[in-house]
Amino acid sequence: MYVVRRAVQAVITLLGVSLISFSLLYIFPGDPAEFILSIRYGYEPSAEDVARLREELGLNRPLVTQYLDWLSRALRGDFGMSWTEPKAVMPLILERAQASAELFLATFLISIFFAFVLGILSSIYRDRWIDHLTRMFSMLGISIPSFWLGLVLIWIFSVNFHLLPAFGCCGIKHLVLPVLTWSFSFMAIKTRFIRASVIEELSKEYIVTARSKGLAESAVVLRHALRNALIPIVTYLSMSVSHLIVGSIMVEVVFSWEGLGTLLVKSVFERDFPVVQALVFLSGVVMISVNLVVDLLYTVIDPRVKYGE
Amino acid sequence: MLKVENLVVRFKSRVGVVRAVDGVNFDVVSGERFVFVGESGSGKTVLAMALVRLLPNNATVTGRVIFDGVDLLKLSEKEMRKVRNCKIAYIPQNQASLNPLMKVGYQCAEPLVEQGLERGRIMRKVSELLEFFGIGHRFKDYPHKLSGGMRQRALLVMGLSREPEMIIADEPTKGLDAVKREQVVEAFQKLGRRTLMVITHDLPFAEKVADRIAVMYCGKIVEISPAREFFDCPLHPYSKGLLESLPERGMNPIKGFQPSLVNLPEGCRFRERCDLSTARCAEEPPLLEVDGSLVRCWLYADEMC
Repeated sequence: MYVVRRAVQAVITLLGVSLISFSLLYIFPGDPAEFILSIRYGYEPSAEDVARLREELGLNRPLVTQYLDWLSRALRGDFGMSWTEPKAVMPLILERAQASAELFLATFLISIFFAFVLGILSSIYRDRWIDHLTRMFSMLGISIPSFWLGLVLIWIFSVNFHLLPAFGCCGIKHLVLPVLTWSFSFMAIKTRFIRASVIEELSKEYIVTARSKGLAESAVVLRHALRNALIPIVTYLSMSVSHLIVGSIMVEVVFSWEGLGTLLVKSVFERDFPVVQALVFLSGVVMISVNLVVDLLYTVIDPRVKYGE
Repeated sequence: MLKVENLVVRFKSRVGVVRAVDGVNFDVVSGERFVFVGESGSGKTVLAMALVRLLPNNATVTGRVIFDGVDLLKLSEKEMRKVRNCKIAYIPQNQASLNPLMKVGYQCAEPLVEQGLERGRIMRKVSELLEFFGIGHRFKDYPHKLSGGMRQRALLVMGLSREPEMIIADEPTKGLDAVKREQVVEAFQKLGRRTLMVITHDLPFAEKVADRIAVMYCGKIVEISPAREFFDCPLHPYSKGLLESLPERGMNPIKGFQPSLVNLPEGCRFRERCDLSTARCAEEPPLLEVDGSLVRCWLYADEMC
């Protein structure tokens, strides 16, 4: 029941996201056909040209028909043609998606690993030196802006020591600096969150029970507190998956990474609306799917969820 | 078996230093069932947790807790864990004391896993004990599916399975209705002659399980008496008040409230609520011995002379 209800909610949310993505084009003042033609010609198009293109694109039809048409094509992965490049939107996005995914996955996995290790160590050894060090480290990660860190790293490793490429894409060597830059801030907040969640659990009554059994503090944290803390932690981590599409903009721009972040920036500046629409819609889809998976994960983590309500 | 000398527990708080336990002396002999009674906030739970050193870091504990000739307060954390694991089983209050994400049987087995017992033996032992307390079918359930009484019995199993030399049970009947309380009483009667220290404010429960009763008031013991004498003829005015506030004994609650543990009155702490107080009560009464009982009240000072 729980699963079915969550799935239905996901579909409804998806419709909302599609509506927003679709209306992007119409929220902006001006006529889409005029846009396309002025981009294509580079000068003000004539009224006949505009009228012809409007007919061609079906812009004269009622909005509802246009939306349904757009939605049915979007669901099949067809977002039309790019306005600035002679390519369909979907292949354009897929081409870039791989580069972004590489960057995101490397950052995500490395950050999560270290965030868990540091967060857990920090909560086992509260107020000892390892905890202080971790907290200082995460404070730095939160405070230092990633574009600044990125530039500093480029200056040190690329400009001064010629060890790593400053920009460009693909290959382990190219990944190092952007991943390092992004991970530093990415893991900082997560480390703090994991530490806080575990410590919060440590004040619960069942922890006294666990300690009364004569368990070592590490067993108390790992076997009892951590598992209970996973519920808020998983929720929090899942939200960061939205970065898969848009979160890397800063890092991608600094390192000229040919990914979705730079594509989004470029499309917005060039008013390539079909690409923007597709990116907004797809990041919505990614978020909703991740949320759905997380909701299902709860039933695995927490035996009480199934019986909720 | 257990000898507590001048135990003091202080908490630093924003309003000042709270003296939750203030100079407590008592001993529990082997095979005895020693029950602490008193109102909420009298320091009973803090006392119990201090004995096994489970209090949070903001508590300072001084004094001596001699168990089998060893001062527990002087042990290293590692040695203390061993004591908790196989010598003194502390059984916490019931409501939220089980891990919600772990199956009941496994939680009961955990101390034995820690002892390094072989898996098959652990399972057999835990199943037998759960069976013994009538919840054998609950081995693979999560705590939220158990009633309050069942959870309390599961906690008892958790304590018993490791065959400790002593059990300290904290408010085992807290928040239970009459029927479930009866189940817990039964469970305690099944314990046999094990050394037991129970903390409770449930006097009828105390009457059913206790050999000796200690009464706590504002962090101090005001009376220690054999159970039968205590329920027939309590000595301290506070003990009398507690018993008279029971429905079956007239339901006359003690007037007034417990003073704050931050600013305790000088002298006898019960003075302001006591009908029998005299000028002498402004001075702290010593623990006096009266016919095999101990009582902290000036009323009994004259009888001695």
